[in-house]
Amino acid sequence: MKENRQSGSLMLIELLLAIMFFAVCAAICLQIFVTARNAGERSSQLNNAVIQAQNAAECWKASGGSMTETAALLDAELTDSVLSLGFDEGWQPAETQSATFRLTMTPAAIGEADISVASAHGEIFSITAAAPYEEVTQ
Amino acid sequence: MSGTKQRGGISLVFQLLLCCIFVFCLLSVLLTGTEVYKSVSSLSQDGYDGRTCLAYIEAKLRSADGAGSLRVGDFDGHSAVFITEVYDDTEYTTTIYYYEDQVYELFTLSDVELGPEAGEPIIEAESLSFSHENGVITVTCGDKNIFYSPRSREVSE
Repeated sequence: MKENRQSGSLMLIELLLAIMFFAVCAAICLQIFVTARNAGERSSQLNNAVIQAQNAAECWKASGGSMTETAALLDAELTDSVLSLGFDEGWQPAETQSATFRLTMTPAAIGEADISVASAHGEIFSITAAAPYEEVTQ
Repeated sequence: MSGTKQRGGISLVFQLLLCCIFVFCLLSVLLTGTEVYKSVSSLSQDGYDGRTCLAYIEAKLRSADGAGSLRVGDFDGHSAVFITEVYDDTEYTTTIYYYEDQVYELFTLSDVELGPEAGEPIIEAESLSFSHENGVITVTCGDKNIFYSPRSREVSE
């Protein structure tokens, strides 16, 4: 009888140890899963942000450095020489106020503009675009 | 005696319960893992689908950007971009277009007329179209698009 009880307690201790070991492993695994998911999302956001910033830079070049023409080409809002363009979660154009991602373009040196794409968590990508020198209109 | 039996029974139930919790947790972690893998894989596939085709076309346009060498138009009913280059005094045209769910590229002598089936499939895509407006070429692949402003400033229609 005593042996029976002893083997039962041993099994219980073994089981508890296994669960503890599993819990530690599971915690590490979950952390890795979350990191992988975040890295995937960041990569996707960066990918899309680069495309949008590049598009804005191309329009800036095509317009010869004119913020008004760039805004017209991108179908963006222009307030006090600052161009803003909003995107929803799927990176489709959206209202700037309710947008998940936001592209802003501010004039820098003559013929140059700073383009920045940001989410609520901060800046994702930024670039400085320069219009061809001979075509600068501002 | 009866108390010992009862304790043994409770211990067995407790062990079984622990085993069940263990299996449940194991399955949950496995399921979470597969979900995360699926989501990461889908994000990566979306990036590949959207970016690769556009990056390829953009690189092609950029590399051949010269006076009058780019033309946006129609190739046998398919929206296409024509890139003209001269090698050894002979003019060649590279046509990039969308045909049978794939992006095709056709490289021929400029005066040779071939159909869309003669091209080489490059990559699968949902759709592909080209347009030229206000000095900017717009390439749309699926739900993503890029603008390209030709440095030569000359694009024929």
